[in-house]
Amino acid sequence: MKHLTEEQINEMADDALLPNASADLAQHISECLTCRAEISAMRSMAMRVRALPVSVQPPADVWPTISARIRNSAEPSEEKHKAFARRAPAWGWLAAAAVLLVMISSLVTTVVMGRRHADVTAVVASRPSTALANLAALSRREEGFRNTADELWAAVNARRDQLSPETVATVERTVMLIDAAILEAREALANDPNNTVIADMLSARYERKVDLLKRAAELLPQG
Amino acid sequence: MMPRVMLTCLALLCIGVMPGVTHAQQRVDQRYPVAPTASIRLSLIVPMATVRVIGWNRDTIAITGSIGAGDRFAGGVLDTKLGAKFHVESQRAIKEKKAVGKPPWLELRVPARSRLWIKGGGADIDIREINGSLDVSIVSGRIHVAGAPREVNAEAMDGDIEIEGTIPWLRAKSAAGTVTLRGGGEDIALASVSGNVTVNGAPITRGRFETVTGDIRFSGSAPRDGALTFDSHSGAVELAVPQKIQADFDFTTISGSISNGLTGARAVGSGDIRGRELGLSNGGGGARIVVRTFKGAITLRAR
Repeated sequence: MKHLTEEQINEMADDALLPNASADLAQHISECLTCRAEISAMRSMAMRVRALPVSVQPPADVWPTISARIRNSAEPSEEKHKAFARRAPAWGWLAAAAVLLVMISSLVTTVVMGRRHADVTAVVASRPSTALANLAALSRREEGFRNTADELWAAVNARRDQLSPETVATVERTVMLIDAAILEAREALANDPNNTVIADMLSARYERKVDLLKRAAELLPQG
Repeated sequence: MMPRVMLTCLALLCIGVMPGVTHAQQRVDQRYPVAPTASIRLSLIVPMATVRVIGWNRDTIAITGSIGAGDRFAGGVLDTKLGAKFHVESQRAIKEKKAVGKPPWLELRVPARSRLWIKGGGADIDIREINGSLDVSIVSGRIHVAGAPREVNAEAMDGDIEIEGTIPWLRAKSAAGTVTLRGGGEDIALASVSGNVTVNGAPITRGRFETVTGDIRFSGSAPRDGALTFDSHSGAVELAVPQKIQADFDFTTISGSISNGLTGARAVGSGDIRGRELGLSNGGGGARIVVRTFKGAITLRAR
């Protein structure tokens, strides 16, 4: 049987397909490491997404202080204003205020998120959305790898009798090792979505799997 | 008494059969003139074969050896400039998916600057003294290359790959076999899924070494402008480098360990993300050496 579709994986992850799952589907899931990995990763990701706060609000006492500082910054003394007006047009002042605003909001976010390192405030400010964006980008990349791997595997599997049993055994054994590594990396990434090292490793494992299956397909007699 | 009679009969039977086996082999002895940089292709459509290739300073291909009685050796020079194409096949062995009789054995002497392409099932391939390019692919067995080819691409499914020499451009990968380089080069990429990757010897300018479960053992160096990357899922990565190497190291492991025997620096937690990391600069910095493992141990020590 072919691997589960994206829709089936989503439904399995939500336990929506279970009551209606056919015997074939259930058997495939019990035998297929890749599909189990997909379902597990999807469940982990869904749990992580559900655990994220809907929005991040700063503490009540933070905003009045910022507001006052912005107001003060935006209301220079008459003397300063005149001097500034001689040097630069009004949009320059607005740009400077905007930069200041960005800096202050980054500072606030740092306070809110309880960050230890001030030099990563910009990253932290967009952390939840970055994590989701990373996962989404990775998911798209994975889909491409999976489709290619599935096609190659189907091609090899359809003509496996044309390969020696030892070669087929080697390919299967090796694919299992890579799938196990993919599964571990995916689970780790679901728990740590900002970890680019794991994301890179996951991509590398997929590349290795596609490369292996490509080589196995090339071993098939031509024609 | 009876066993002695039986043994004698068996011995006589063997003596009677052996000449038959010998006669069942076909000799191969062919010579062709080709250009010094000709492309030479050899397909081994047999379950197992032994091939030895030696580069020489003559514009000639000389092929000697023996093949089984039912095997077929065919091919020849397509064009003295373009090159030659040969193949050995055994329909019976292919049908039965196993070696039938004694496997083919061939020795090819080819112009040292030729471009060599060999593809086989199970094969033991030994290539020496070629300065041109090599593209060798097998399913199982062994690929051994010694010398200084300009380019090497070696692939095996279940076989081991062993390269000796300084190769400007090298790609070697095996699924379940080991990959070994004794030497160095400019642009090197070695990979195996479950086999070990071992590098021992001369400096490598740009290198990428990757396994999934196999270990990576590197004993060598990189020039100041070099860049080496090591990546393994669960295999250990061991680096042995000169004590005074000018390099910047960047190690990360998700759940493995990092051991540094080169300097006193210790690995630390990776900030807010999972894992441990170690970044250090040695000898004023220079080559960039990056190691990533998921759960394999990383070890750095002096050579």
